[in-house]
Amino acid sequence: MEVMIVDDEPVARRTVRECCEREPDLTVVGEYGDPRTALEAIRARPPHVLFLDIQMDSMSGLTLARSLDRETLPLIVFITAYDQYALEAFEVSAVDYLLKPFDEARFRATLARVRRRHDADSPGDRHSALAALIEQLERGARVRAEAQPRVLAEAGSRMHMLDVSQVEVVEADRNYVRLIIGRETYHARSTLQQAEKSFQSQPMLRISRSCLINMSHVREVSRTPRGDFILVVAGGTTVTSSEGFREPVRQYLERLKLAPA
Amino acid sequence: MRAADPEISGKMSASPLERITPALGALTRQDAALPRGDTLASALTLRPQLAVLTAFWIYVALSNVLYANSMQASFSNMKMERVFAPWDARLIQHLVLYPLFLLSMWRSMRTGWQPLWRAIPLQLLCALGFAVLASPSLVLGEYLTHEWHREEWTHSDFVKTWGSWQGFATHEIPIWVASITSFLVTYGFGLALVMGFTFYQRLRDSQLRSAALERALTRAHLAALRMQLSPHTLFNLLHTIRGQIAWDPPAAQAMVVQLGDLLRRLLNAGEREFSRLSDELQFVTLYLELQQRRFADRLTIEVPAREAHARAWVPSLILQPLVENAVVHGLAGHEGAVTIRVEARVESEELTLRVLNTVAPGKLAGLSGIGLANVRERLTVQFGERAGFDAGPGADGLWVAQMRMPLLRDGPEGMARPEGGAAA
Repeated sequence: MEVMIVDDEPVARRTVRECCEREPDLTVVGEYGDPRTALEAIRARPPHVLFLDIQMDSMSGLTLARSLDRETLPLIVFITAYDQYALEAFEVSAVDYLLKPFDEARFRATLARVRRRHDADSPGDRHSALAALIEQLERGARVRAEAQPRVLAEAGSRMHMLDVSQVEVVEADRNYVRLIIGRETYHARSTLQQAEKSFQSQPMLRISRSCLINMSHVREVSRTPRGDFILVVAGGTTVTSSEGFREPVRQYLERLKLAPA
Repeated sequence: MRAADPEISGKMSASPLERITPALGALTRQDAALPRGDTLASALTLRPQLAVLTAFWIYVALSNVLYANSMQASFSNMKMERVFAPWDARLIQHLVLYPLFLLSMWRSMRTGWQPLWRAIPLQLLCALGFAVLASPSLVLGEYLTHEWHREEWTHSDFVKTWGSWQGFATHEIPIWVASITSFLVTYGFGLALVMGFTFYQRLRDSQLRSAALERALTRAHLAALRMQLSPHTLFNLLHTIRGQIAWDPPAAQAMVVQLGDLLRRLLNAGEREFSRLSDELQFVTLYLELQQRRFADRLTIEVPAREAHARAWVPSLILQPLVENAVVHGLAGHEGAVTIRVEARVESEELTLRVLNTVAPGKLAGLSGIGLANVRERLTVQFGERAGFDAGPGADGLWVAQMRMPLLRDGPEGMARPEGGAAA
């Protein structure tokens, strides 16, 4: 397989090259410190495998990857140092990556996956995997500040770390918020405003002064004769929008094309 | 309306008394999520005060009408002429006064009580402005209804009282003064009621806000306590790696990678309050394996499998200070082998984590250190009375550090999703 290496640090490039040289089936056909030159070279003669550093000064590795032609997209192995949110995105993605620092053992483990993909994947597969990864990374960058994947809550005397994506309804209750999942109700020490921040990764809609609803769990929407919205979530809980929030709820539902006549 | 102004909503008032009576809109429950400039929402926030004042005013109107009616009834029995205005005239009086009452209340609350020397005359002016209009409103009511009560109130009577200054001075002024004093008292009660209610609202809000602030502080405090890898350990590890570079290059490379993993996990865990127990165990394993490389064959480690208690969560990096202490404490003062064992046990909604280490004979002295104080403090902040930490000599010449805390588990049973890799 023909390999290209793109990294703006010479020593980092040498490390990858040395690892590649120990593999009999790899030929390094190009090494670039400047992403723009690299882009031209890749377009002119696409390699099979591309080792691509993400954090480069003049152009991010992700931008470079996005600029590549779909039909001749190489197998990309991203190299990154530290970004917790990026790691979470990589873990669920079909795109390979290496964490700095890495040693021979880790390089070989990644290479084994690359070889399998080389035999099985089409450029179309690679392209959709790459697009999904980049979208995930961009969404991660938007919500990372306050979002929490888990919140601590109590039900009776039992304490739970709830996955925010499972929570259907959040309701204010004096110094607490009530979190509803299915038929279970949990209490967390928080205000509704703090909860709103923790739940930033979820499509939460405020339907009254004291109630947020996770739209990804809504199963049914109807209206009362007065025009208030009645929302039913998967777990069966029913909530009604208040007069003051009728209009924002209507606009939100209209955007989703969910509003009943 | 200033209700939706985030400047005001977000501000922590130094004292709730200081701004007890600002604009009505700003008094009501502040809520950053209200859409900006949404007049409907702003109007809604006035509701509680309006309801209180309206209820009060209905009470005043009813009591005045009933009082006048019953007094008149008893006077009529004594064959006296009508002295009290009829009930419908009084009702009209109170209806006319209702908007005036609301207006002067609103004005009075905007004025507030600071500074006192300026506020008191203004407040009195407000109250007088309202009370002075009480009697004329009754006259207006009587004028509007006098057609229906021709027998008591003839047009000439009206002209007699209101037509000349003398008639006015002898008939109306004493009644007017009496009505002013009576309505001043009513006004005072109303003002006290709505201010008390507003004060209660503000107190409740400030309690909510201070609870929120306290939580934010606690969170910042906990974050500071989490970063606990001692610099001593870090630099010793770097030094070991430096020595290995020439001696055993592959081992040096492997150590660098392991140290990278350790630091990455440390940073990750430092950013969140809780981690899965399995991730915590993996972290201490990584840490202990690095220490094993430093001390070659002296160190034996036993850590439960990652799969043990897979659904349990613990405060991030809570085990690390104990393990670090066990290494330092176990290796000190002798040249022999050391065993470090980590145990995790769940019993009736309680999780117990223990770190045991062998020590040199006769070295079972007290255990201290900033790391352990931090562990105790974090457990207390997080769980209060429901958690505990102690350390001391155990059986078989082992040193035992033990903490117990409420078991934190995933959400509803059967809904747990498989999650890979680092702490979710």
